[in-house]
Amino acid sequence: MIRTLISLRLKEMAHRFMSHTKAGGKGRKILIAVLLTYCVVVFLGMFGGIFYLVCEPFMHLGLNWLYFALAGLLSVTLCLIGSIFFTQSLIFEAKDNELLLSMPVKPSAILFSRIGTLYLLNLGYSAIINLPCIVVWILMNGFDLMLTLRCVAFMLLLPLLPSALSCVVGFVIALITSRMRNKNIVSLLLSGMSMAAYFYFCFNSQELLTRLLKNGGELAAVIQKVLPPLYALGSAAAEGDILQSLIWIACCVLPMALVYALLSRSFITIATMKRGAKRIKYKAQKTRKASVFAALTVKEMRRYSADAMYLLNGGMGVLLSMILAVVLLIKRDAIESIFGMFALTGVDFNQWTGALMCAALCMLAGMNMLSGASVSIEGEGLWLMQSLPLKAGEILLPKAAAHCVICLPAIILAGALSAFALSVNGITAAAMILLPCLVCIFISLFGVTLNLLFPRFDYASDLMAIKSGLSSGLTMLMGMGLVAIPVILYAFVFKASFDPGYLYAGCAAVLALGSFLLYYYLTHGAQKRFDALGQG
Amino acid sequence: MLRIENLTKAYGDKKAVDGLSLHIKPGEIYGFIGHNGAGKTTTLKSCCGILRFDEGDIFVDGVSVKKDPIACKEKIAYIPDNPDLYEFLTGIQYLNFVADVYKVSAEDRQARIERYAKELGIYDDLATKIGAYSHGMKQKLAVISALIHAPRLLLMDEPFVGLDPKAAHTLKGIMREICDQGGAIFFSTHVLEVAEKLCDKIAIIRGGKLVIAGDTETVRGDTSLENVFLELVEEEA
Repeated sequence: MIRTLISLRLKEMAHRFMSHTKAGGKGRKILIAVLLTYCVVVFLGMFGGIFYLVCEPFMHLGLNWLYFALAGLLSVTLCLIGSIFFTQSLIFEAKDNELLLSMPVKPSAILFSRIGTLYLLNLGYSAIINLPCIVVWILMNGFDLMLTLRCVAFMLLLPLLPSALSCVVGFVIALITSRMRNKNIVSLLLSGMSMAAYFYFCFNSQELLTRLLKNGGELAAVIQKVLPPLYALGSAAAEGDILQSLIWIACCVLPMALVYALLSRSFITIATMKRGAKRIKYKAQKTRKASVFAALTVKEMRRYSADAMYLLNGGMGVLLSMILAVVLLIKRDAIESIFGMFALTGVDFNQWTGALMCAALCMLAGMNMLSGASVSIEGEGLWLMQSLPLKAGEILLPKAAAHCVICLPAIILAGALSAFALSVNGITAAAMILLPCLVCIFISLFGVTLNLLFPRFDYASDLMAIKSGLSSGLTMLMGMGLVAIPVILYAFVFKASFDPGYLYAGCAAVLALGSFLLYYYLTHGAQKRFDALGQG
Repeated sequence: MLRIENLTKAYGDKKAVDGLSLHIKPGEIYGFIGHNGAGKTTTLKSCCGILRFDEGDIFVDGVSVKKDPIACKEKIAYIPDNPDLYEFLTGIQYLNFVADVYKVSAEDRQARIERYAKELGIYDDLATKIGAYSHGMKQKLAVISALIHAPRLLLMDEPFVGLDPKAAHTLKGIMREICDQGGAIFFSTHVLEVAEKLCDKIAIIRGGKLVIAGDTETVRGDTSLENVFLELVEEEA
């Protein structure tokens, strides 16, 4: 029974990634497989590099255990980041909870299958770190059968710990959000925190690594004192210490056993907990008439912001441009030192700073792809749009407008703050504000057009539409290409031989023309394509 | 009010509707009956300009759906069998959205929302997100949104599914009222007793082809509509 249930969960997970329309299904599967392989190889390489850097210094310091403890720490962190939200949908908000409970299946078996799936997922995450950890150790120290077996055994146990922690955090989130009117806030907050931690790690990885290598001894003492389970893992793996091995096994198995015991006792209550938005009694208000364009734009804005994760994924550029502007205000030196590298070419540093910041802001403005899935997310509600007495352009343009209304204020603010922080001249300041705005407008129209040409209406959620949609991906690539091409042309083909003011003007003209052409297509040429949507 | 002429629509090789012709006059409630997959939804969706069709034409008040779908849609309201509404909006936000699109004045929409929402028993829930609605509540909201611009022609696909008895009774009253004011209603249903009591005319479709159409009394003859329908289905088998 449990095997059947776990297999059902795994099939569901595969369907989420691989669900496809009748056309191009095989090609899509291959594309996803290639992308997944690419991601795994990149991560394996990245963590392999880290372990290669720390292995020898730790050995010299006699801190072999710290090497494995570090792998354990990274594994637990990656598993937690990767599985917290999944735990929520897998265990606490699974749509088939009631269906399975109506069958002659023990609730504990249902829970076991779900936790089993979570364990398998975390095993996959931890393998991304543990495999390079073991391989690098063998490469640096030679093959030791007992140590390898110990490592593999302990690494197999490791996912139990983050799985238990994910269950606890997921339970708390489910408990809080089930009583909240707007649970998006919690999701947004937690996603923001995870993302901030991720970017902090990425931006500071070099510094963290240097500090780790310099102060390995001190760090070892801290871990030994504050995180004894990791010390136990390290000692058990590196030295085969029996007592530490038992401590590590207990650290992995006991929390999971406790969580399983507690959750299985209350699984029926959790699974049948009343969810959805809270009922609010309506009090009559004076209604106001709005124009068709305004009504549709507001509706699209509500649509984009209905799912916090959709907003976060589609509006990543907004978030990053604000972060960039704030960082610039607080730590201007850091940005200048990065841009300073370009001064080595002999070009005026100040000239490059403004141009590069402008390019960076444009790049971030182009990263927003809210409109890139705006047609696909109509999904089952497509009939509604098609039954309205409106032309295709009247329906499609508000999708782009909503994209702009959400993104433009932050883009303008980021441009103004950046111009102020860098004290650039008037032309550059104008370019830092206007060019990202033009990129945003172009991308908003491009996203709608592309999604109109390549829509899919069978996504399980809006989030899947924006995360795995072809048009949203291409929209983001276009945003990046829009910036990369003029920068490359200016720097490498024209060797910065003319004032960047001309570059700004040229880019603005191209973007304005492109936007106009897309606008014209959506208002004059998109009707036939729109009518053909969902024709079976 | 609605004239369907030789409507043909195929999905790949399969003809969902094959040469269907019907005429619904002002003041008529026209029932559309058929087994699952007979072509009822395809016909209704074609009438309101959602589905493109291969042959024939459909006229709403003399205007071709093929040639001027926007003008036709302004006179029509459509309620699908499974109302997938915007779950991220509240009931009142959704109604205002539809009213804005149909350019309904603030006074008219306020009066209609209040009247229909109260009659259908959903008024107190209008501030709640549609995502939290039951199927029946969504159906009621779809009905109100369809009535908000006072359409001349109401196209409904299984409108009574999910409605509680009181709401179903209210909807029947509203349907009769629309027809008394010169409008027309074309709806599909599997509830033959309802069709028999409510409809002025009935059409039965089988395998995409019209089998019989006419006054309810004529179609029913001396027996019940259920018997007529079952006989026709058995003939096919």
